[in-house]
Amino acid sequence: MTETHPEADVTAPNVAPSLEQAVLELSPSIYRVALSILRDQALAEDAVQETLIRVWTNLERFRGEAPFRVWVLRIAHNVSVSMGRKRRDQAVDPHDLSEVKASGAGADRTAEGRAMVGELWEALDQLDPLSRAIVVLREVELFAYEDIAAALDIPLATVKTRLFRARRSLATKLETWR
Amino acid sequence: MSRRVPSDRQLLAWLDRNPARLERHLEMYPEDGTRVEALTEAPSLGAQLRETLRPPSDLLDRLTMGVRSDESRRDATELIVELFGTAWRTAAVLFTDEES
Repeated sequence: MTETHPEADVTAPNVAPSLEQAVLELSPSIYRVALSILRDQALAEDAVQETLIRVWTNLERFRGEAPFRVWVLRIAHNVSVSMGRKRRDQAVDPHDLSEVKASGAGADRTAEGRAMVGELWEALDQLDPLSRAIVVLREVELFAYEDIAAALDIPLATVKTRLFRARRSLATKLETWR
Repeated sequence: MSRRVPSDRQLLAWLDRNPARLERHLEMYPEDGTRVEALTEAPSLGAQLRETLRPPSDLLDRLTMGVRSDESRRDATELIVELFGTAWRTAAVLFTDEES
């Protein structure tokens, strides 16, 4: 079975790039992973900032056993999960979250685009945070299954099963927009 | 020794109703994952997720301010802020390009 996504960059070196490269190439990916877990734009931005600081202050711990991007997004996932737990402990009003979510990036979207995004968010809400992270790492970030398993520290079969279920669930919503 | 290969319908039934069973099956027969992958393929999903999770265009500027204002970790962040300067400006252009 081919485990690598056909469009994934399989030649990525297992070395840390410069900070400039990291910021340029990874900030959007960190943001997407964080937003998929936290479902809150402001918290996702905090997670990006925290992740970049942790990456840079822990850079000596990166051993090159996995691609740098996998290591960074593993940190992003852990930061986001931790922030999500703190938010739950603080018992935020769910109505506040939905407003933040709806007011996220994309004021320039068309009415149809906004509707599609809203529908997809509703579908994403039906998934648990781990499944959301998996589907984003595979479908958006084009990670290989093995890299997702490494980033999230879960078995390969769990990655696949969660991904396939998420696809089935999201595809129902996407039918409307094909 | 040959094995009894589950049908596509059986695989999807496990996926929908008994994911733990499918997970155990894929641990033993990872090649069947290719079939489930094909059965659940959603070609436009990536593009639509990318649009849904698109970063705001001023994200980098606000991240810079956030890092700068993190007084409690000034030692750790001073170098980052300095290095971020160039990268932020370039990234802002890239972000704009990505969204256009």
